[in-house]
Amino acid sequence: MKIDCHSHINGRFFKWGVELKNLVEAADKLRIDKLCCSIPFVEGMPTPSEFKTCNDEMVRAMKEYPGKILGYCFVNPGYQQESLEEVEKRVLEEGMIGVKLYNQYKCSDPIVFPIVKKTVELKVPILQHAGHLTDPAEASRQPNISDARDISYLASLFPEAVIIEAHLGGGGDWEWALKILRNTRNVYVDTSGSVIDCGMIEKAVKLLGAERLLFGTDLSMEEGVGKILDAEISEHDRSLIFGENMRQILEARFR
Amino acid sequence: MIIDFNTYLGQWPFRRLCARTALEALKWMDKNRISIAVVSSLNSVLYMDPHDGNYELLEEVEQYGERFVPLAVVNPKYPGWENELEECISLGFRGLRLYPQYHNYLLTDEDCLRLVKKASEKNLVVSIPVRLRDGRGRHWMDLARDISLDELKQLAEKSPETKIVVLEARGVVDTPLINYSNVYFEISRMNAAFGEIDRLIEQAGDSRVVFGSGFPLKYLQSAILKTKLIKKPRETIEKILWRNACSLLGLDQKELRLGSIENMFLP
Repeated sequence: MKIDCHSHINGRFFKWGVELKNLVEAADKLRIDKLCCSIPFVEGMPTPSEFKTCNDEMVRAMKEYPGKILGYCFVNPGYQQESLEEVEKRVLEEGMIGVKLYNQYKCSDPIVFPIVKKTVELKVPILQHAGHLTDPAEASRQPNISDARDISYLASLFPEAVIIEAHLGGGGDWEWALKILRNTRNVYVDTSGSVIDCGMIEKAVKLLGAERLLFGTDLSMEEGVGKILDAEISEHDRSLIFGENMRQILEARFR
Repeated sequence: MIIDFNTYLGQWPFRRLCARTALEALKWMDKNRISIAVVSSLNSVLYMDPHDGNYELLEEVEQYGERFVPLAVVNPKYPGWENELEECISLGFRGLRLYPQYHNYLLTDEDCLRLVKKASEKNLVVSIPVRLRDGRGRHWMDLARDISLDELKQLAEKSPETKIVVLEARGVVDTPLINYSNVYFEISRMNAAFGEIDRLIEQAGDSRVVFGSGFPLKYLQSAILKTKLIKKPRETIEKILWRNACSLLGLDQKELRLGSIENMFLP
């Protein structure tokens, strides 16, 4: 089983350049069973009306491909009450699987904490956009991007939260991230992103354990699948990463 | 059969690689059914005299016969390159790999144009990686730029007789670069899942596209998956996987003695 824990579909405010039908077709060819998607704002501060529109579009896609497209609820923690209501409604009434947070605030900012508490209450994960961008020009484009240190801090405050650090292969210095997260047990790392440095998955397994790694693509489809297939790891670990770990996370709220 | 046009051997100073010797590389190649790796020295990226890396590369691969096709790294800004180019030809190098972003020159610099012209006179293919790593996580001492498509276009325009293989490029579809018939494209950073490589083939023709992976800087399997998602006839896939590379490198496919490896890949 393959569950892509980090994917996206087009929204009204931001298009990733891939039509939903083509995404599903590509996933089928690569034998990806489920796509966990979101429609975040990649820059700016979306209003409640705007992030609700993103989630409306996400729910439409979930209904178009039931069981294949799963949706994260994207919110802007700066609008606390609206965000909390939105998360509760989308998870409990519309079957969304978790919360997607982007770069509006660092996740170590207390403004984010009520959202995290809500995910603990609902037993759903947070997929946190993250990166340790070593190139100053890259870093300056996202002044509020969270890095592994922010995530590790958040996880220490909320040990019951299930936090996924996004795109090991798309967040800059991945070795730095692994070192920081090594001892933070309630943080998972998704392997998505276009970076496929040979040895990345082996090192992640060595430092974090396969139990804390989740397969993802972030729309780098062949890269996402190929790096897990090629890694010199056991078939058991490969199976955990490809889908078993995420399956357990998705089922946690029903236990 | 698969010929990987984009591979390296040697040390990469910023990260431990999964294969640093020819023997280690062969293990990964066999696992991924790569018959031949077109390879250059990574040591030559940072050596003051990159030619020493060429010697090391030959020593490393010579016992493995046809499994490796070595390309020489030449820095046209460093003295003596004319002599070394001649020596590389006599030593059996089939082409060149240039690292202008690390050797501190532009592809349009006069010395580079002279090198490229001489290479084409000697029937050597010239391959150029747009980059060797993703800039978002670069080491603080690695300040190399990505080569722009415009710089490559200018080289192609000024050196129309030279066969240039662009490695690690993306976003070339619908750009002027694609119109230069002397430019070839390696696929490892383009997507097949959403049709980018199909459009590349339609615009450039199937004779100007080659398979490559970037190994051992990058995993191999992702590039293999791309070839399985291309929506083109088997003949086109074969050209991309190995026939075009044979033509570029002057390899006689009938002379390749690769036995059962030849039929291991079924698109």
